[in-house]
Amino acid sequence: MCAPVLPGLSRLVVLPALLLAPGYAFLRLLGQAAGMRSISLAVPVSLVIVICASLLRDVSGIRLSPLSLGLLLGVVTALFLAGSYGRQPVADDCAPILGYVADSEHDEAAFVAREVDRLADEGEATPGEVAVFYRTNAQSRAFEEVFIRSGRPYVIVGGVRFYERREVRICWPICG
Amino acid sequence: MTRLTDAPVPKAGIRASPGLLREDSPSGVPRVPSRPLAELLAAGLVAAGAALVVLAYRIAPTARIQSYDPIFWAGMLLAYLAVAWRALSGRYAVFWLGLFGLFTLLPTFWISPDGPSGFDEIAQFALLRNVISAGRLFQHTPLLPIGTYYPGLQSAAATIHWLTGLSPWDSALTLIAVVHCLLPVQVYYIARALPVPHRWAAAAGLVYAASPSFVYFDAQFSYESVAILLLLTIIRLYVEALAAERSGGRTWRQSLSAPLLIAVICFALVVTHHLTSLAGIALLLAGALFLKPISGLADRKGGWRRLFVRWMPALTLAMCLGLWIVFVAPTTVSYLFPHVSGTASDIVALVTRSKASSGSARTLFSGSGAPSYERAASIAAPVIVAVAFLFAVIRWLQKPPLRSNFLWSFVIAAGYLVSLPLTVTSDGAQSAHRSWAFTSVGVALLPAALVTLFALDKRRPWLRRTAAAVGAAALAVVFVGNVAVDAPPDTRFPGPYQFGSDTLSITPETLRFAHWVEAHLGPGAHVVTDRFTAEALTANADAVTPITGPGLPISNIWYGSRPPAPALMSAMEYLGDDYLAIDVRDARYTTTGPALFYLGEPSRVPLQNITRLARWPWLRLLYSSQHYRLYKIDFHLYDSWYRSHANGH
Repeated sequence: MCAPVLPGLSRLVVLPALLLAPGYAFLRLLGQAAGMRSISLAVPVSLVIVICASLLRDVSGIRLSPLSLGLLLGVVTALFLAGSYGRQPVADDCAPILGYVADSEHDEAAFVAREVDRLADEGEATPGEVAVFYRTNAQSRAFEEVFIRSGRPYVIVGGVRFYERREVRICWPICG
Repeated sequence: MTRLTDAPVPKAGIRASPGLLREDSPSGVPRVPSRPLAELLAAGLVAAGAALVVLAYRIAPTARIQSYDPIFWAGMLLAYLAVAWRALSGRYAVFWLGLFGLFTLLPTFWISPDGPSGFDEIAQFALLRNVISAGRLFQHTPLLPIGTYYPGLQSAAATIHWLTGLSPWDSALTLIAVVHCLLPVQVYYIARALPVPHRWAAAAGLVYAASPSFVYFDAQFSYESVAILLLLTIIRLYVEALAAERSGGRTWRQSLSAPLLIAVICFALVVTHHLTSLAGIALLLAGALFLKPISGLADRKGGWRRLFVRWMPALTLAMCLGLWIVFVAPTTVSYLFPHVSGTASDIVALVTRSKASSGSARTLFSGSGAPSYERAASIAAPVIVAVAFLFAVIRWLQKPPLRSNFLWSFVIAAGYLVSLPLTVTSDGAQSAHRSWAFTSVGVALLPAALVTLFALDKRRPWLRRTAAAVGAAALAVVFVGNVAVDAPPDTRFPGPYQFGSDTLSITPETLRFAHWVEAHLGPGAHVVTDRFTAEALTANADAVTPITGPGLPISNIWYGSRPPAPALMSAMEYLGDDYLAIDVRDARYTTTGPALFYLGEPSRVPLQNITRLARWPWLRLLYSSQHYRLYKIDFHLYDSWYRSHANGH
């Protein structure tokens, strides 16, 4: 039976570090740490590292004292952390910028509407999380028509809706 | 998908529905308002639930079940519903799911706070002690020979012990606590990656926490407990990797990191548990076949890369397991084969309604002493799951393009439903029980499927409130029913002595006997005995207790009409099995649960087979109490005695 290596309160620090640090460092090395909720992956990955290290130690026959094993894990963790320090997380999950050539402005608006639908159906975004940018106010009309016809909620930011503009409200009953 | 129809023009000035603001982005923090008072209230309710559970366990040894069982359920349900409230309505679902994982360790802990209890836990803890004392992995215990070749659990617990100086049992508890609280959290993240909105992913974690094996079986110090976390982590990474591929625009370098990490975890999973690895292969294959293919605006290039990401995890896990079995643990096949063949024959018997297997049939709740409400909930729970499954599948068939990732969860949930008839068979019941930790992943996603497919969260408020009330009631019934199925009251609570129980067969007399063995024979003494005495001696005296098998049929000493054969005695002498321990109650009672020696054994030990031991001169009585006898075997005397007396028998 091994004697206790760490007395008293220091266990409270070492134990979480043991369970978290190697996994977190490994994930940082893989560039995955930014995209995940770290604890829930770092713990199982730490377990994996501990299991693999124990097996390696057992198979290779290298006899390490508990203190040496702890120090080794600490050094490896520190190296991983040092190696990955300052690296910006890669935005792995971002879709590429997509070009779409439309035949008309209504075709363009219909494409955007379909995209909003697709994102909502796949749970990737709600309509409230989608923004449509256009260069001039006049370009909003096609989008508004498509959105209104398909019952899709929208808000014009920094402008007035086409059908709420004064001149349109005046002309609408005449044209209607 | 498109809704570009000639719908009536809505009134101008329409604004985004406030309900939409409660939705969230899969990649971001849920946009749910923070309510600190509600969180505090829920924490108080969980604490009250914990107090009730502890109270139930404190009074259980001396009270009647009618008094402590309702207290137990009040505590469990209070905590469960409080967690469900905040996980579904609040921002911190992951915290609440993890907290409930910790909470569900309370019952297992209070069964036996100071050491292992139950066959699996005792065997695994014996392995851990052997690893710690030897300083090397791959140690042996006769209680669980196959455990030698799957040292993942022991290596993790022993490392905690070595690095922190915690006692072996405290190290084991620490490991299980960390692992157990993360199980529902991983299910939450699996659901999020499918993708499922925040609150319904939380519902998936909650339903998984109500699965039949979660509260007791998966909370033991056993290799399944750690292996299931590794498996769920693999599935989570796999589903996340597929989701990332679906978004398109990735390079080989970006796509390689997830399969690499999965491969490392696969290896650790394989060296931890055989059955979970097999289940993992099945789940990953189902994922490769049924998880949603690339669609939408994803780039059309990189077909080989996507194929790699989709199939590589299953192949890696299969390859790791195959290599491990071939080169390290070939006995896995002979260990699993009887269970697999027994289950297969039970399935055949069920399908063909054969009477040939009537001997292996079992009756649900026989001799368990479960109250009527637990029995009713146990029957209602699978019925609720089946109804939810049918509704979801029928709706999905009507709208297949919508949320096609649910097909994967339906396939896995179907495995749970298929396993239910096996609970009335002997071998099949055990296999079904072992499968629930895996198939419950599919069941856990059913609420999300129902909400999505029926668009329940977009219905009128009164309908949403009704659905929430019905859902909460169903969740509570499923929770009670599943826990009751996993652990009937006689295994769930400490109580008076019960013959044939892994948890209730240890009495003060048993402990005195074990301490005498430890004091007089020392650790590592080889004692031939029955299952329940073996558990006590292994856990409390560090004894080595062989199990019966074709090469060592020690059960013949109990069941055989003739004295033990020379071949058996030679094998025992060769293995150093010098002592024989007898519990005289073996001849008085019959077991209703685990077998004394092997499945299908005679129902009772003949009394004369116990009394004859006192007349055999080659057995020297060392210890005698009201129910226990310990003999020292004199193998030389046996040889001469057998030669002169064999003909007389």
